[in-house]
Amino acid sequence: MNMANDVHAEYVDEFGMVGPLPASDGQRQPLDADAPTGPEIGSRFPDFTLPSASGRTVSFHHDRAGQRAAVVFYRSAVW
Amino acid sequence: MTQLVELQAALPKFAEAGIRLYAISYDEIGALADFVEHHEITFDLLADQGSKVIRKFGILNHYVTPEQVPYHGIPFPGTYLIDEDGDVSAKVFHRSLAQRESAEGLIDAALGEILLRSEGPTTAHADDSGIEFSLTYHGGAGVLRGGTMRRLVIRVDLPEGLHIYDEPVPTGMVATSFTIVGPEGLRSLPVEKPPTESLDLPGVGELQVWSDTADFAIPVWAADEIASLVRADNPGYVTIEVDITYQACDDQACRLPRTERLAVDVPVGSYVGPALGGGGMPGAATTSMDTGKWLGEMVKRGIAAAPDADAAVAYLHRTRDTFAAGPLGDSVTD
Repeated sequence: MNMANDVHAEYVDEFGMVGPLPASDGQRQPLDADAPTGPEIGSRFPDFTLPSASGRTVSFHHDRAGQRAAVVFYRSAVW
Repeated sequence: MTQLVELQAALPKFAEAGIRLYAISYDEIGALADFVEHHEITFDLLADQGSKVIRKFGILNHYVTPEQVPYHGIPFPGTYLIDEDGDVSAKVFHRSLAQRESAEGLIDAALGEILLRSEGPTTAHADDSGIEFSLTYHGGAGVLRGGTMRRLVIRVDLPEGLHIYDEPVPTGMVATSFTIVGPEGLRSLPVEKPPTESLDLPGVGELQVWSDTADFAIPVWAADEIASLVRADNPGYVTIEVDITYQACDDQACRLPRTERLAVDVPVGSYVGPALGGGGMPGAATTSMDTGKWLGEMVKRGIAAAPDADAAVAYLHRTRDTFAAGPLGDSVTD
């Protein structure tokens, strides 16, 4: 049984991806070409303080201690 | 989720490049703790409950309305690379919200160069004028998965004195181009080209060329035909074929245009779902969502139109067993 062959067309987006909501739903809508993507290249990365799942409190610039960093914004670890 | 587990697998590569890794979502801290435990995550998953940082950065997904609880509050997914001074050196946002950059792609963005590793499937070939070509599948430790970007890196090594052309070229000459021949369902973005050199040809004008070694990268991802979260079977591997069309010249004469085909076999990895029994939905503290319920919801909403109820239940059980087997099943190579 190949479920993928039975996928309803409205769940397939222009990128060929299938998701649990229709492709027209807000969660799946493609980013506009001029959509804001936050701090610009070359600018100071804004500082923030957030709790970590490890139990630590992370103040970003202090925590990275002069190292390079990658900060990944993602949808959810739950769904 | 596939993205987080891939990032964890690539943590030594980030450390090697001197990059500290953080990930931010609007999830509750307890849900993140469950995920960290289940998938053995050792980098910081930060809890931005209430999406305050997401809003401060101006990347709240505004297509999701406040009425859409608990989905309101998610960001447009993307990554910032920060240099030693604390400035943004690069950022990666893809148009499709289903696409995530690979760990290797993020490291390349931070370093400003493509760091090819021996783990990616690769093939090499030389033409009869001594031009060497290689095709390497780059990213995700060489494994293809739905939803994460990879790059096909084509390296062209030209013998001394020979060059190939970038667009535009005069009528009668052929610029270098790349075509993904297969497989069906492998989608791509425009090729990322290395810098060119200018060559002034008498009577023709100034042309843009490559000589010595040139690395071209084609960002690719697998559409649902290849790697799907609703597909129970896994093809095991796919064969990726790329045609390179080019015309090589020296300062005296040009050779005939040619097309060379390169092919690599790339393993297809499993999809990574939510932790079994893990966590509560943000904004809906009483809701516990495990994988079975989540997949059941997908069937209910009609993404997977099961021919009958028994088949749907069998499918859910099989998928649940796959998820329960471990973070990435047994298909991870490092």
